[in-house]
Amino acid sequence: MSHNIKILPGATVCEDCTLEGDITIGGGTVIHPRVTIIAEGGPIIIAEYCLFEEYSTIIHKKSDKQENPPKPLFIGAHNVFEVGCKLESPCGHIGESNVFECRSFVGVDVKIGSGCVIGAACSLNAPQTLADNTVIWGSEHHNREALEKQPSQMLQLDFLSKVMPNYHRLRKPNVHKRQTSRQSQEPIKA
Amino acid sequence: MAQKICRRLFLRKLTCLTCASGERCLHYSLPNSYVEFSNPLHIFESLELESETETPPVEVNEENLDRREETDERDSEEQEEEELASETEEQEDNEMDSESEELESEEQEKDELYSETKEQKDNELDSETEELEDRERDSETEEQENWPDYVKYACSCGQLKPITNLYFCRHCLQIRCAFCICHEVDSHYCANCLENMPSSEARLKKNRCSSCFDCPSCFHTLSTRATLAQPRQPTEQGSGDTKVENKQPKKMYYLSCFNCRWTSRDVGIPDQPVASGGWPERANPYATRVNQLLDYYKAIAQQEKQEKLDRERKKFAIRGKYITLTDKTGLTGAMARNIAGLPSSESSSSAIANFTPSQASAEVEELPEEFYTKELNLNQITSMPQRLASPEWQPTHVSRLHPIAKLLSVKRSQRCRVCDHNLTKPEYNPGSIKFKIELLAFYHVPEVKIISYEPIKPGCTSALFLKLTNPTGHEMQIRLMQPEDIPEPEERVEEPKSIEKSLEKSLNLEKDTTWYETLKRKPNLMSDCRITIPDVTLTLAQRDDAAEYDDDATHDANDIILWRKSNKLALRLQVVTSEGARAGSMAGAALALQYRYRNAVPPAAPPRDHTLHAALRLQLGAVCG
Repeated sequence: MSHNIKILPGATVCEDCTLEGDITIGGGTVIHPRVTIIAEGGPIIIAEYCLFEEYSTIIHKKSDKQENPPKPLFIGAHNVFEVGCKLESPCGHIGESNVFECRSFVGVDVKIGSGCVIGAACSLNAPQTLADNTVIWGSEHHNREALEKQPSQMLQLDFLSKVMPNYHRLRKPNVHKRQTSRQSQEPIKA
Repeated sequence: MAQKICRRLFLRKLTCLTCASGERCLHYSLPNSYVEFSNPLHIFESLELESETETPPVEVNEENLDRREETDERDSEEQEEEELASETEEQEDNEMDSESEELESEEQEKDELYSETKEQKDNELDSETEELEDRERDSETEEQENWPDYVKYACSCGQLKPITNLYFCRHCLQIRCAFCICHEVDSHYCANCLENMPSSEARLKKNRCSSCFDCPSCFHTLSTRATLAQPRQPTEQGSGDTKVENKQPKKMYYLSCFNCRWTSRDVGIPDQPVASGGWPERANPYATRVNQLLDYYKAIAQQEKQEKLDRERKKFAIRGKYITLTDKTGLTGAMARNIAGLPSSESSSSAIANFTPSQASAEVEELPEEFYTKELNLNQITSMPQRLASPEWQPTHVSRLHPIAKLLSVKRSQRCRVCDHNLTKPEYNPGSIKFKIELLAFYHVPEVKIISYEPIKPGCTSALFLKLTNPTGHEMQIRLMQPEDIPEPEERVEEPKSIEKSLEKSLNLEKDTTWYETLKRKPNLMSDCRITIPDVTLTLAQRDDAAEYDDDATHDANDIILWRKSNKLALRLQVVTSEGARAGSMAGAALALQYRYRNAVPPAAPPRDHTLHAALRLQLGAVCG
């Protein structure tokens, strides 16, 4: 499998995580150690300010009806993937400001809008489209519609991007030239 | 069957099986505890019904009890009131008493309202009887599979329960269970903020905490979240700059649910500048009507009490022995009421006169047109539990959901109904989970555990390994017996009562114990298997916490004793299964223990030894084919 991982400046990506395939990680995104992101069915594009917590797994699955060129899995900005959540998607598009709570599972053929919350341990298997601001919670998968999007985790992201380098080896941003990558450290400190 | 219907519907005539009370008591939260019959004699019949289903009824509900207790303190409060009422039975003018009665009468009316629809449903249900029973049986077996209680002890009231659910009264030296003891409310507290609330205040606040809220959407506890509200930017002009500097970002608070992410902002409740309290309270739209009803029933209760008093006075008058208060002091009834601080009889009569009963009408408003034409969005409609959580408003639309004030929890103490001693008494502090008094059977009755057994086959003998544990701090002698060999408890000789006691009796204040006779029955220990009882007396050492860490078991090899270890010993027994045992049915064996129990209460007196008995039933899995 080709390893083509593009890390944009400002992203905090720990070395101790599995990244396979064509992955683009946007600036401001924080990826904790032990995260698995596998792009086997096509590229995965992660936008800015996403948070991937430990043991979260994102797999862009291969499907039988593979398009050529393969369709990318686009993950919008400000998404939060909590500990142990799993997302499998061959053709998905994930909007902005979603929260995938601990040990939640989103199967293939689920389209997720913006501002959705998949509650802890909820699993979505059937093909469906989640409208914006849908909240799913509980063992019985209750759902309701929130009035507004989930508040963004900017404070947490800022904190993590400051603290992470002290305790973990990080992958360096590799999209820009070397000298610009050094410059890119500055906005984090600022 | 009647009970099963009762459980599904509102009860009309209530009779508590536990305390034989005809009113709503604490046991109301145990659905099976109530039977429909008003005639106490019919309780017998219902008990027979229960024994047919084999599982004691409370078994299922017992687990519910605690949970329900927390959510349904209203019942317990009423129980408390009822107690109050019984205490002050003689002082009938007590206002508290009248209040509780008024509550009861209100319920009765409610029940009557339901009675018609109920009867209809009764008929419907009767046709489904068999189906229901089947379902019931299914659920019971399921229950057993989920939490099998392999060893059940027989309570003195005849219920079979695991030892962890039983109490031991040190004064009667009997095993008691939640079914045959008196549950009392000790204190009210909020489970979230752990604040104590006196019962009068709790009643005033409708058993709800004033600072904590539940999510109206998923009923999880709401948390307060802070945000920094940006001061509103005035128009971008130089003159506004000074104002901007003055305005510091202000902390604002809103309620949010961590489970379903509901926030108070969702329904347009403005953020609060203070962290706790200050949330807008909604007025009950039916407050006036409810108050009217309350006044009405209060007045009726008052009136009935007055009539009762009058009747009694008449009785006295017939006897002609006593001089009435008026004769003696020239005090009139009205003056007496005034002195006693009771409302004058006029006000109560006016409440009755002004009361207008509600009218039932056959005509119902037509549904609006859009009900048929508009597309239904289920996300906008509230669910039934959400509506019932706030019965005053019953919002139909999610935008009308408001935070629900958290219901208070109670700390209960339990009391033996026979000797009136406390069996459990929790510490007063809501944060503490310890008990001041904790007379659990687990600490006093030798515990039996099944180590293993050979498969039970009809007509065969199987080995059974049991472990006996002595939980007490004294050496214990145990003999195994057949349950039928337990000697009938001899009638306890009436102790010479103190003057107070006899006075109480003469005043009819003494506890009525007939309920217990009604309630009591033989535990159902019938089974196909029979344990061959060895004729030995086993001695178990006292409990020694330090010995827990000692690993080596002493093998004093014996035909019966497998091993010994501090206060435990393992037994090898034989189980004979009858030829008639049906393959696939659940095999159970009965066993009885005779043990020497050293009673150390009262501490001053020298400890006395008692010979006690405990019958138990062992669940030995399914009979093999």
